[in-house]
Amino acid sequence: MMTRAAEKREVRCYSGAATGLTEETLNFAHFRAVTSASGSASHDLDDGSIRRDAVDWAVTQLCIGTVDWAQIPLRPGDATLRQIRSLSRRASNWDTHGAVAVDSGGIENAQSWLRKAIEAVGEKQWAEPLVTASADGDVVLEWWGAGQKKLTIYVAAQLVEYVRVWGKDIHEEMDDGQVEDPASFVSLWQWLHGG
Amino acid sequence: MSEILGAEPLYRRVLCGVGHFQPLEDGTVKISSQAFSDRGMKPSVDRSSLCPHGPSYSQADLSDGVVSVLASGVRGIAARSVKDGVTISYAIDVFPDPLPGNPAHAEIRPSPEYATKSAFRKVLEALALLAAWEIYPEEIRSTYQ
Repeated sequence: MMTRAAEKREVRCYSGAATGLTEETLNFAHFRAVTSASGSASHDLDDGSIRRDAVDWAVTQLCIGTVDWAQIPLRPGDATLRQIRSLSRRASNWDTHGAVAVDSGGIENAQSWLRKAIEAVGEKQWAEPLVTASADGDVVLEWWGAGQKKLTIYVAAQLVEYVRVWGKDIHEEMDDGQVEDPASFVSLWQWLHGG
Repeated sequence: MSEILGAEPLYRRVLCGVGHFQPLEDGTVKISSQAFSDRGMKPSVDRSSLCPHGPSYSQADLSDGVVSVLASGVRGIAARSVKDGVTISYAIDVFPDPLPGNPAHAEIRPSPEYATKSAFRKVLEALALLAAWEIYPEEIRSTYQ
């Protein structure tokens, strides 16, 4: 994962043509620019689009030293979205045990699902998950709650499933199913963080 | 091929940098269920009795972490699934599977084979809960070792 310092250096090299910059960096610049300019965090900037004027603004602010991007906090979900996107770099056998490459449809679905999940749960209640992939190429998100409570979400191109754990006994202390909609995720979230 | 006794620890490598562990604020380091994920639904482990240098034997890279589970713990996992209205119970066990470059290699397998992904996913969760750290991954070694 590119560090903020590296992103800053890369954006400093930006000359207006946007050549040589990765999509991730441009998205990052776009996000920083708009959040800095607007002073709010209400924009959805992870749709893959890049506003050139926002990038230009960001580069200008960086060059004249008025913005220290490292001081601007990330929005809830930003770190997770970037980690999900980075799963596309995992080639076959990334785990050295024969895992398949992470499915691009699953990555797209996971990004879309995550935004809806954050909106349903509420940004203030949101906690970033551990992000990884299954050997089958699904995106996997994991959260730990109090005691042995744990929630695992598997995201494939067309399907979101959960495994809920509150102990080692598979019969009595685990269940699973499909996450039909954001509301059903809210009930899982409340279970994880409830007393 | 020697029998795997219940008290024998089984080592599993935990890769660095792929999201297979999570340090929590309470000072614990949780193990992802995906640290045991396997395409063939037969997670590989190394038998400690055949690992001459202890858990470091299972590191392919010095940055790797290593966790252990007891063979008895694996055998105690009671998995089942329901498919087409039929309940299937699985006996989970660990079987020696020596490889040319790794005589300690063994596999955690069910009998019969999993009829659904659901059963295997729950076994992964159980394995992650049973596992204990032997060597922390390099990313966090200085903090937790």
